[in-house]
Amino acid sequence: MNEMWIIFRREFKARVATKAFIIGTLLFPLIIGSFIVVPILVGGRASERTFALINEAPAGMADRFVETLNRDRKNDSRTGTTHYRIERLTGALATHEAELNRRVLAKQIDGYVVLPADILATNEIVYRARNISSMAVNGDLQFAANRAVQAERLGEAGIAPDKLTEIIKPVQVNSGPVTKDSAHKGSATSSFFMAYGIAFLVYFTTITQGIGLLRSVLEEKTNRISEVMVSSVRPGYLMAGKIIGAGSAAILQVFTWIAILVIGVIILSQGFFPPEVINALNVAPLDMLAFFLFFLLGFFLYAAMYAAMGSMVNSEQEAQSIQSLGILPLILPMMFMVKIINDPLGPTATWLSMIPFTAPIAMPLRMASETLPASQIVGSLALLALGMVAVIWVAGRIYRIGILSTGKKPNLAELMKWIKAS
Amino acid sequence: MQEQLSERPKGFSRHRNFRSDRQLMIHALNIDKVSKRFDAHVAVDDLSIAIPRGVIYGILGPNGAGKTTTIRMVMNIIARDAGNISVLGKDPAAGNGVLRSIGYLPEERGLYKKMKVLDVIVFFAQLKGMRESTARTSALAWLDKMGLAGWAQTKVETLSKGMQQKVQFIATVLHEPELLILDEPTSGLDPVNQEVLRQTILDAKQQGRTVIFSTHNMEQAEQMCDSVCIIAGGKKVLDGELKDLRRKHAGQRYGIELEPDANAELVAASLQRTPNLLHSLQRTDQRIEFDLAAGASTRDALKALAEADAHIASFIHLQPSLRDIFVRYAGGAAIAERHTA
Repeated sequence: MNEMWIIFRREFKARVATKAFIIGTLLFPLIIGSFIVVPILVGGRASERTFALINEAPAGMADRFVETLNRDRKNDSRTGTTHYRIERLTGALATHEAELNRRVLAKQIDGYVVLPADILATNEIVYRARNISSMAVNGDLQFAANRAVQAERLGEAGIAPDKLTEIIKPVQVNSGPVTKDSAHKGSATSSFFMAYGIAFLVYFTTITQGIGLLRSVLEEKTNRISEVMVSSVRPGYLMAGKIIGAGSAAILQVFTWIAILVIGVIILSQGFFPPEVINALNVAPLDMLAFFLFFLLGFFLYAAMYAAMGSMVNSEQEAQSIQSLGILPLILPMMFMVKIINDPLGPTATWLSMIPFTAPIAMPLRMASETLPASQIVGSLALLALGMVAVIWVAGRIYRIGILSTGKKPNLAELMKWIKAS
Repeated sequence: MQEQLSERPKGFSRHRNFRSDRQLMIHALNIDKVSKRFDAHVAVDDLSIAIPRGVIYGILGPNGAGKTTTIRMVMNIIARDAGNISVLGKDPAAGNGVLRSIGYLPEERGLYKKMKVLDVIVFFAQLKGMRESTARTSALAWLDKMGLAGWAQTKVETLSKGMQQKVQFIATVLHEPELLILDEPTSGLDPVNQEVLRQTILDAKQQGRTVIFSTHNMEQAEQMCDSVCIIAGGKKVLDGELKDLRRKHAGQRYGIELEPDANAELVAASLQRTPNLLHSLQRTDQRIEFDLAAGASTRDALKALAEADAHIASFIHLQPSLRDIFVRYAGGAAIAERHTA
């Protein structure tokens, strides 16, 4: 047992003290986070635009246009944050055009907007600026012009323009799962975030740390380190020490990610993240435990399998081909992810969540999309645990012979002989 | 004796002495009718070797003779097909931990390339049951002794092959094993380091440890071994104490040293002319060596010399070198090997 601890310590250190691990663990959430935060920050900084407005249309339209541009957006479906400073000019475009173009190029103003006299007929406004690439600004201008034109047309039809907002108010879908635990509220989006997050964590860490284990076994085999090892350690202890070492590295990585995520959300929570992200972190403790168990058992199942695979091959090339085979059952539930989330009670989702090789990804996806009977979750976990024990048993027997055997890769018949050998 | 010991360089500590009367009864290694076949090829064929304690024992043989396969079976790295092996009185395949009292240097070096030199030595020592702090202190002393003092914190992969081999050797001996099994320990080492290694092996014997090593370097085996075993084609060709083997295999080869005034060329010619006397003859200056032909005796040779009126300074029966014995017994295979090497 003491040898196992020594092997474990070395394996854990060899994994954690690498640049790849440190960069992967610390930088990865920062990169993901920056995808969310940076656009918001950038959007927030460029939040003011100065436009000249030439109104050739009826005066009321310009008022409504400006008012809509800088409306209070709190209860709005549009989430843009740009503030517009509008300089209203009188007279036609022709009299101002040269001067305006000069001012735009001199950066005194960002651009100018023209509401033409025949706007109701042409359905068109003119927008000229140095930089016309901002989708948000284009959208805001179009939205404001729409409102102004709609109000004008409603007025012509005899409806008070003030009622416009009331009339065209969009319908929101208030979606949420039905659960026994009424305190646990979420939305379809938050479930998706949650499910996707869990599936991704299992998938990513199992592949990176699992393949790392395959490589590490291969290294020991090709460098004949295993020959020295087996004179002091039983192969079973050797494999167990390595798997637990790799597993601890994976757990450390996952917990670091979760910690960074939680700290990030707390620091930046004020209006920074869409509420769905924060809701996704609001998970019942029992579910959390189940997710963790799926991750842990699944990881050990795959780690044992990869360790055995590493012991079977003799070169990088052989490792490449066998590892793609080993990743396949992990990819399967990822391929069916949308189907599992959309139809968590269907046969595909149910089967995938019961097969030990796919359950670690499929079951958390189902759990996030639907309230499942506890019996199914416990059943899936039990099958996974049994599967894990079986895989570790078979892998251990292959590993024991594999790490010391050289020559060609064993075929299926030889593998069976290895497994049967006492 | 005590004073003599204290003058020797540091390395193996001297507080353990494994030779006691009771232990002497049990062989360090006993291989009894062991066989191993790989598919159609028989690697080791009904091999029996008994190695007493406290000796330096050489396993000699050309490439492919079965040396490494035999050692791997002893280390329980591969399973034997037939026969019994007993290491220090216990079967290594029984999983009783007896292998931990062996220091094993594999034929191909096995070190973690990304680890630091000191860490990798300490790691292996810990697996053999040493405490980390003891292992660390001892490893530093050994690195110093082997001329690697400045390399403790370097990654293994940056070391030269010869240096890696010395690191592997330290990892083999650090836990002060009672029995050392070294597979080709000096291959890849320069003469200076071969000498360091030789001295270390002799030290180990002085401490009462048993050292078994395989080699095809005959001169080295001759310098160091008390006993040897020559194997070829998986079979034992001969074994025994080196001095007995030499005596037994002293053939019909003789040497004469002529006085300076003698005409060595004429004497040699005269000997060669004598019918049915010689098998072969070589001459260098005043020294002549020859093999007698079958049926000829030293009397015939002396008669011929008297007839040639040779002034003889000495006449000796030449002892064969280990290389001579080896080539005679494992000849065909050894010559084939030299061509491929």
